[in-house]
Amino acid sequence: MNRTEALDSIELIRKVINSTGADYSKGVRSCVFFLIYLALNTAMNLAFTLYVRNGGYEHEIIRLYAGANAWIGFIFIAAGLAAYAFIRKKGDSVERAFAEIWIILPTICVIMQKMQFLIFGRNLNTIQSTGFAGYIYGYNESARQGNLMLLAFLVFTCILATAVISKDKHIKKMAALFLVLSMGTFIFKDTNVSIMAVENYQDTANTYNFNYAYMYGISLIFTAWVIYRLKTMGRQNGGEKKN
Amino acid sequence: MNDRLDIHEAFASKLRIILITALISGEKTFTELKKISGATDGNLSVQLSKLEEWGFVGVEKAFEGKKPRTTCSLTTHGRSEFEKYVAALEAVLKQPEA
Repeated sequence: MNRTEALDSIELIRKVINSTGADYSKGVRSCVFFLIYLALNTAMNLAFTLYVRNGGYEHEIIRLYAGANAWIGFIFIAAGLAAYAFIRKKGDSVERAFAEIWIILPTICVIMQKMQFLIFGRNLNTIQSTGFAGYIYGYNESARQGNLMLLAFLVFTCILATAVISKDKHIKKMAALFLVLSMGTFIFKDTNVSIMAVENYQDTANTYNFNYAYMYGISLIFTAWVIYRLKTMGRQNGGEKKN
Repeated sequence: MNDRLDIHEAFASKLRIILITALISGEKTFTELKKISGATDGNLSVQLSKLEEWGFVGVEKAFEGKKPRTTCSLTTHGRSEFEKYVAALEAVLKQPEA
């Protein structure tokens, strides 16, 4: 191969890449999502920690903080939906979008929240309260719910959104079943099983709430089933069409 | 393989280069590949079969309702060979002109 042939080949590759779109967009998209979420979340965690360290009223600020976190969760889901619609339009794999935007990223975000608190909140006489529960119930209750609530809430919303978008009637039926099963959280609502004593702030970090564990558990089962269904029905873009 | 540059036979054809490059950005249907390459059904089918035989491309045939749908995707081997090919092209271009 001489220089001219190499140049021709490079030019050919460049033309095809320009006409089809390079692969970088997917990675960039994920990173942008994650960085935006992380930046907002880190700023809030820092502000919250500084407030408390400077004598702020812990009980009230944690409520605001948890509420703000919940709203960021909403924004994140909305952005995920928009990206999902964009991906579908481009004809990319629905499983990839599902896994990438709705399962992996929120999970990473929750883990990052936990890590941030470990860093910023060192020696602070409180525990993290990042979930929607913090907004609804206040400090003590939200302390018991922990991050599981946020995770379950994110997964729950994403699954329902998938069911709405999907054209597959089996997925829609399963989503309805999932919705019915999720009502079980109300049954378990007053039977929270706290393994550790709630009185001690530090110990509450290790409490276990059956209510949300149940919801998260069925969410995971549903997620696994949806991915399996999408993979086996031989259709990449959201479900088989009704005949 | 081309001994001198260690380039796979798959890159000997312009159409195959186009197909591999198109699949770098994600899986494509047969129709999409036809549109991108401008090749005929027969030629496209033959080249895709060759690429599949060499393990460069995975072909999945399924039905969308009652309509058949062929989806092609680049394998890890195909991607790695493409990267090698691009590296070889760069090496050629870096060589001083005779």
